[in-house]
Amino acid sequence: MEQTPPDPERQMQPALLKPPGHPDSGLEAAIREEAEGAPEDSSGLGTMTENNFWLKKIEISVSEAEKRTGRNAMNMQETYTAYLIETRSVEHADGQSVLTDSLWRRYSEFELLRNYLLVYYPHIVVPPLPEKRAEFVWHKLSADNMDPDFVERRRIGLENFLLRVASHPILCRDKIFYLFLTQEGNWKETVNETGFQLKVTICVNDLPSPFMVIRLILVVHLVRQFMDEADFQLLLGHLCVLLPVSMHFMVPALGEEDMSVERILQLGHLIFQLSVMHECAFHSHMFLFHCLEDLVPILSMLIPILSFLQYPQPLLLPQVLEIEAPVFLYLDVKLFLRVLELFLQVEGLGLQLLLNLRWPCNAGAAEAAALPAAFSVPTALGPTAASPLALSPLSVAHLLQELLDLLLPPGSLHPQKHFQLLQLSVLFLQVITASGLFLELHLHVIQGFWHWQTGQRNGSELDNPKEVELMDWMISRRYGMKEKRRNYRRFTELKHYSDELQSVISHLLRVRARVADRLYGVYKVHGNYGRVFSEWSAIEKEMGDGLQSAGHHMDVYASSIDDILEDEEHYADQLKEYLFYAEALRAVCRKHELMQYDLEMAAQDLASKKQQCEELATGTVRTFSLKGMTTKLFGQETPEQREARIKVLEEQINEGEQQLKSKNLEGREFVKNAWADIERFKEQKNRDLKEALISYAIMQISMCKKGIQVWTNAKECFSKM
Amino acid sequence: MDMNSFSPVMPTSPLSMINQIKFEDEPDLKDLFITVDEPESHVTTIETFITYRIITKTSRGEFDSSEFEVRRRYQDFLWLKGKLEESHPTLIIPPLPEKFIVKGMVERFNDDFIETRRKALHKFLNRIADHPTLTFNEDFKVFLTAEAWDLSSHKKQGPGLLSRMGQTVKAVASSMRGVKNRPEEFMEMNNFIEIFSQKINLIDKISQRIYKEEREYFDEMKEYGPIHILWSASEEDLVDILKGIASCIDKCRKATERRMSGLSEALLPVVHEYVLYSEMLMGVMKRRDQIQAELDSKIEALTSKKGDPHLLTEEIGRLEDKVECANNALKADWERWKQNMQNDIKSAFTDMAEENIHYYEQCLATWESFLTSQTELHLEEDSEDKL
Repeated sequence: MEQTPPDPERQMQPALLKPPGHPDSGLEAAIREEAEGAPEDSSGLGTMTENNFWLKKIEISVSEAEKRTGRNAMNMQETYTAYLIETRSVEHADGQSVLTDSLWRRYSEFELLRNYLLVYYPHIVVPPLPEKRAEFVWHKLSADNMDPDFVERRRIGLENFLLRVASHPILCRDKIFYLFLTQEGNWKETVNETGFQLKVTICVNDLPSPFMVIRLILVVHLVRQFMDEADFQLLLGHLCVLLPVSMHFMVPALGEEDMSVERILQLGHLIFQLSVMHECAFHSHMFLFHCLEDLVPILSMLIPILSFLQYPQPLLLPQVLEIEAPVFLYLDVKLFLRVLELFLQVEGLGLQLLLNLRWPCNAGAAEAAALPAAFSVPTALGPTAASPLALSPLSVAHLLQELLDLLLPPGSLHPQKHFQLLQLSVLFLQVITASGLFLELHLHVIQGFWHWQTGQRNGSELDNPKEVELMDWMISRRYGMKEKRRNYRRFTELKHYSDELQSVISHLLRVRARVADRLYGVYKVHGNYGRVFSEWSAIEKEMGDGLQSAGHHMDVYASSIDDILEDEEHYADQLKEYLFYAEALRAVCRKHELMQYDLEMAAQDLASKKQQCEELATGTVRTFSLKGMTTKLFGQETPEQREARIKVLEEQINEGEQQLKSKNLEGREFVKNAWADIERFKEQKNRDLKEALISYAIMQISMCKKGIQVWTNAKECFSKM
Repeated sequence: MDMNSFSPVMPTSPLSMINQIKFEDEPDLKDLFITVDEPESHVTTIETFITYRIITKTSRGEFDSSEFEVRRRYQDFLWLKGKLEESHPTLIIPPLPEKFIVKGMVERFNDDFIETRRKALHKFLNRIADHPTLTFNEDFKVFLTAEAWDLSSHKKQGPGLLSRMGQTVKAVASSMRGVKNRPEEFMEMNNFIEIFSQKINLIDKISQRIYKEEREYFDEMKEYGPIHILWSASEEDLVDILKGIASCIDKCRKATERRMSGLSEALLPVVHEYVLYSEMLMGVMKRRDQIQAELDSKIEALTSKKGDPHLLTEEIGRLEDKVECANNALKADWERWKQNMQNDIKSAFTDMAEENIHYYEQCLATWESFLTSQTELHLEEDSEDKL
């Protein structure tokens, strides 16, 4: 069987590791130093460089798997598989390797290692672990975790994982990874000491996402309905243990019958932290999140809209909408339109209210001309029907028409409602824009809308800062800041790519499993000839011998498929690795999104503080705000009080500006690093997949050769009969 | 394989030609060439049936002309078979295809069914034509040459359905009683037939199953190639290789299709014909036993002194001749049939092996050319890198 020359970077087989781009010096010293040196702060990458050197000349292998039984944390009997990791250092002179360490690890420890890496290196596409349970099985393949073939394939997969980490230019320097290979006992404790779980909490604290908040409040409420009181308390207990700091928020909040918006937000925030953590540590209740996932977004969309309708008071409204607007950017338009439909159906609430809010329309010819364009677009968007959104263009058109009707019909309008509706419609437009699908449409609508808006005002100055902001937003959506847009597009593309990669590979694997199943059938049925031929040969004097040996060849043919498909299973494993890589890619994208969102929030916060400050300084209140209301209700403050507050605000603004700056910097750094690693990943992926595909062709060739051989032998037997 | 060498619709492989010439009973004396083709559907108010065109070319003197063309329906074939069995009870008459089900593929398309049956009917007539005795049967000649009205008048002359039924009942009854002193060689023959029937049925089933599995494999492969194409849309650097794999899979799929059709032409009909043959053989054995049983009963009657001894002795003599005749006919035909069977089975399986070799060779060539193109690409890239 021909083989393409093995790529030295490829680590399916234990091989010498040579991370590119590092000088080949100071090896011996580095090993000693490293072995003696006390554990350092693992977050500092700079101090870890030495680690890299010992890895250069080291062979890592997962050489054995062993079934073990033990007691788990709950003191329950459990069976698991432990894997023997061996590391050998390779001497320079004779190339002989010396066993330096060998220790046993189980799958969950590999998981812990990977989770740790995920948290500490958010900008890196962390190599995936092999599947926990066999997926894409066909009938011969066992789905049993203890199946020897499965364990063997997992052993290879785990080895591959270690080799991938070891050959990664950054990950290979990690202290925890080094200890994973060298220190059997206490390793878990060391990992936990790094406080990587805490780090999750901390970065969550920086990211209050109102959307997530509302979503998770609903989760808690729904969970409560599904669980009895005792279970619920238990769940709460878990939550509190995991989040000791937040405990005091949690319990009182859940005890109250009617929660204030603020309380809800607090509570949701906490649960959000948990939901991020649960990816690392919170497996046990994951299923609850899963089963609610479909329902929750819809409801969580309804909440702000309904609250908008139920609390049309100006003081609450802008707050809700302000928070929600950017959040909608992360949702898909299908859901939103479903909600919109729901919302239009809500009796006595939505539609009625909206119908009351009719615009005074003395719109001129310009607006009238702009609108039909907007109307005609949705119907022209034929391909939408075929898009994954599965929304008929008609229903989109219908909804949009509804929206535009609301915007434009003649009637009278209260100035305040005018503003609310303006915001609401901008919201719609944002969603439509965010989907990307309706970009064309969106431009038309915005143009029409904006023309109408400016025409309506007869060129008068935009004196409401909110509206100025809205306009800025729209312009920035339209023309955008170049860099931001580019990053946004790059990451969106990457996300899109990882989705595609995942779907196409899983599809491929499914089809392959079915094809393998059938091929197995074709081969195995031939085996039946073997038996019948040999029985028949007993009564045939002339043909007997020929039949007998032909039967033997049929048996050989039938059993050859076992090896062929076992080889193919390795190919499937190679594909599976990239299936899981898709998830790792998405993790990087998600991180980027969160950072981006964080940045936006900080900027918004800063802007509102600036505005407050300005209001206080000038004494004018331009928006309907809590401040404004209290000012009106309780009268003016004393100048001293105002001075003090301005001072506080100014300090906060300074701080905020600093923060924003550092966040911007951090974001840029992240993008730079992430992109470098993604480039590295792409190269690796192209190389690996190319090789995997070639190896598939080689397997096919060897299968054909086997087939030719068997059938040539069989033919000889037949023709001798 | 098919005996027919000039049918326009039947593909004839060189191998089968060789077999035909080599193993034909009387290859040099072949003077009757029959083709069955052009099935035609007839719809009347009472029934729907299909007729087949039968063209006969011959150099025999007893035929009025050297070429005949008639149309016959399945029932006519059935009549011929009945006639042949009647006049040659212990000759191994070639089997007719079943009334309804011919080879598992029937369910799929009506056209398939008709085509399969046409082939089987073609084979049936040629088998008779090649049979040293049956070929000279008068009814066979009538079947090949008579006009439709003439044939139906011939049909009426034969024993009615009832009498034939009676015969069958008698045959069943006698075989139920069993024959006491069946000669050793026929015991052996009977044993052979039993085992043969069992095995050939199994082989038939296995072959059908393989065909089915291959069909399913073929169907599952349908998605396998295109998914690589789909994938290539999102992988800039892997476009070539993914498309290459897709086209290889596609070509292999086509090779699978060819292997399937090879299997369904070379192996399945032959095996199935011998399944039917095994049933015919059992019928022959029964008829032989029946003739002997008749003789035995007379002898018994004579020994127990029932009836007129003189008359009985005379009849016994006649029957003894009949048994002798039947036995000799069967023995002679048996050897001939066995030889044919071995040749047919052998060539069918050899063909199957050849189909498979061919299939794997095609796939091998496909994958190897893909691999060379890929490695060449690599080499080019490498040399470019060096420059």
